[in-house]
Amino acid sequence: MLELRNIHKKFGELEVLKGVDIAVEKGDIVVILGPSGSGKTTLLRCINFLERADEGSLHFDEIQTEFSKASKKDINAVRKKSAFVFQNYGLFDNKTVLDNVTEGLIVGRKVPKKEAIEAAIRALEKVGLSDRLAYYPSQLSGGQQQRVASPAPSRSTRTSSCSTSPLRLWIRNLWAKCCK
Amino acid sequence: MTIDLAYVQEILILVLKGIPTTLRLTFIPLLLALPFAFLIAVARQRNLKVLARVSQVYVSFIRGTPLIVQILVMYSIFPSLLNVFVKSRGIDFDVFGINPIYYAYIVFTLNTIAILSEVFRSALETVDKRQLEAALSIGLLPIQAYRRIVIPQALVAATPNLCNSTVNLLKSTSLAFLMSVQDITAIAKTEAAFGYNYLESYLVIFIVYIVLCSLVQVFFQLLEQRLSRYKRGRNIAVKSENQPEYFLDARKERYHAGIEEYS
Repeated sequence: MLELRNIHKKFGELEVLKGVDIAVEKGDIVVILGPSGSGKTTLLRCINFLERADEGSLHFDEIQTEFSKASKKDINAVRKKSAFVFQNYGLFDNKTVLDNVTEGLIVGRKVPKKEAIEAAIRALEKVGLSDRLAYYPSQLSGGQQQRVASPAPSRSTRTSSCSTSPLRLWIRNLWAKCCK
Repeated sequence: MTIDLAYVQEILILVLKGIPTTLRLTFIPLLLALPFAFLIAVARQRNLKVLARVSQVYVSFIRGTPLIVQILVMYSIFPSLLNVFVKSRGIDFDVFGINPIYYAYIVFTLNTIAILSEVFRSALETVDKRQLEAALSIGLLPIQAYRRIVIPQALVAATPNLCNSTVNLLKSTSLAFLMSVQDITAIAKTEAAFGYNYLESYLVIFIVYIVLCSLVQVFFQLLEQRLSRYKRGRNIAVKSENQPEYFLDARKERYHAGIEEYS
């Protein structure tokens, strides 16, 4: 369960988040809608600590912290428990498709290599990319990159995921497939 | 004007003996400078206040003076300073008996740190900052993110400049004769003055430098090809008439996963 209280975030003079509260239960699928520039991505980036919120508290399963004084350990723990699909898919250019998916599992979460590779191959099979395992992102089409990005953060131990592109709801469907 | 071929041969043999010194003068400072240059580059990129400022001043000092002046200053000041220090501590040590090559190492290292820090800084700038964010967001520690994602990509952008710097350094080592280091230029100069065969001596080292620099360039070309493989992709032709292509490929990966060290 993920709960955020009273998030404030300012970029210079511009106050983007003015005390946002949000609670997401396990299994929920939540859509955040809004015009561009309204802070949807900023909110997600704050959850992942890619952007440091000025104020507010975070409660994520057993992690309980204030944004202003979260330790490096807390930050890393949150990042390991959550997943994030970037608008530009956030694929690592110097890693193959398979390595892109396993990187977070093996290095981030210390999942055994064999297990991680098995899981990654299963996930990639589901999005129809099992013939592209050894390809680099530069060799994929835009749509294929997008499909790598959806299994990339998904995994068996996944607890929460954020997609910064609300239009691509179908990614959700793919995730649902991946996680079955 | 004739060229005395027998003499050329003689000089060449003498000069070849100086090649290890020239290479040492190039690669020891280069290796010593790499870690420092990288730290400075990261400090400047992440805008760590004090370190970034200090290194900026340092770089502008080094860039703002000719190498030959740095050598002259270093070679006249450093031994005297060291001598005063040794005397004041009452240590029995002959400062002026130190092999001048160590002074050369110091000058070239200080110089290379400044140059490489700029090379690395510009290379780090070429990597999209979203690559770092993506790495952090999947739970990699900053140091892992740099080592596994950012640096491999930055190195590709750095290699042409790295090659440039290395070749420049190799050529600059010819100035080490000012510190009476016996590199190939010093040997050629001594021989030339000894027998008044300037043309032959200088032609020989001219060619030796070309050969050495070409080798360095070939090395860096191969390195760049290797490092930038991800941009061109690797050839993976796994085709079968009956089986779908992906099946073989997936099996291959599983097989490798079992026996090969994953890197």
